[in-house]
Amino acid sequence: MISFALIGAAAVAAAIGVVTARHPVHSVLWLIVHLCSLAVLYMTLHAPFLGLVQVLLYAGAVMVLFLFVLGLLSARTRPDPAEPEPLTGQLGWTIGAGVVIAAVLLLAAGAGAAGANPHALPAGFGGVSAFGQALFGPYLLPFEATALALLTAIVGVVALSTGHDEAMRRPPTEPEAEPEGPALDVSHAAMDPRRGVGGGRD
Amino acid sequence: MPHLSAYLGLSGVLFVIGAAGVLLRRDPLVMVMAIELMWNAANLALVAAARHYGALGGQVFTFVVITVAAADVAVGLALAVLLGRNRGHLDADRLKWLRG
Repeated sequence: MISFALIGAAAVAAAIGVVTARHPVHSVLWLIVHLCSLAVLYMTLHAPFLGLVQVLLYAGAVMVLFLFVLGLLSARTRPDPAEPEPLTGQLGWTIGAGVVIAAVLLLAAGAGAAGANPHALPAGFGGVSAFGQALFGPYLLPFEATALALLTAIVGVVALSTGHDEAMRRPPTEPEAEPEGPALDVSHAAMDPRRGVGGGRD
Repeated sequence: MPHLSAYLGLSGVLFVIGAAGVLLRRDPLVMVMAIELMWNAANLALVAAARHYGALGGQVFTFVVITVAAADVAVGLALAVLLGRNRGHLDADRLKWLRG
């Protein structure tokens, strides 16, 4: 119980860190802390294989992808917190929506399984052997459907990143008619806007 | 071991934090990370339910969700790279030209 409270508090604190961090790299680091604390929770919930997958695949591979993209895009393209936001009033809406969603979810969490005790677990529950037999036995079809989802993602990414550069450029109906990178060049007037492509800022 | 409702409550809190991040932040990369928070909140509920009911189906579905989330990250980051490359900024609030 104490370990649950500690790890749960760490997960919540890291999640708040992801959302509130000023720099995206700090968000990525907080997200790694969050994912690792969830992996520990999975271990305590008799899911050791999932805990390992979480650390290897999520905190490893996916976060490396995030850091790679962060390095690819220069910091100069980020929104400047000092300039006024084009959209206003999100904070009120967010607080309202957050309170409503949290109330619904917490009510459901309290009501859903109020009395029942946890079931007894078979030996080896959540281990690699039991997990593999479930994955390739009764759940084979969803597992194969995952491959289709991955294929769709690959085709989508390739289609996005080849050949459509001209189509993505500023359309004529765009209200802001200034040259590239308006309003962001105030503090970096000396820099060529296009240098940001290859991570021009060092 | 804490009761299932404790895990579900923690999962709900994490989900709301992620949803608030998507609504509040303007950087598409941070928005994708907040979406990851929501995926993981759902995963925690699934794993806790699998433990509670002694059924491996919840864990297998969590595995599927992790895979789909990785695909989602790949597509989202490709969009962010395209945006930064072609428009010179990464600000979701200024993407008015996406409207139909």
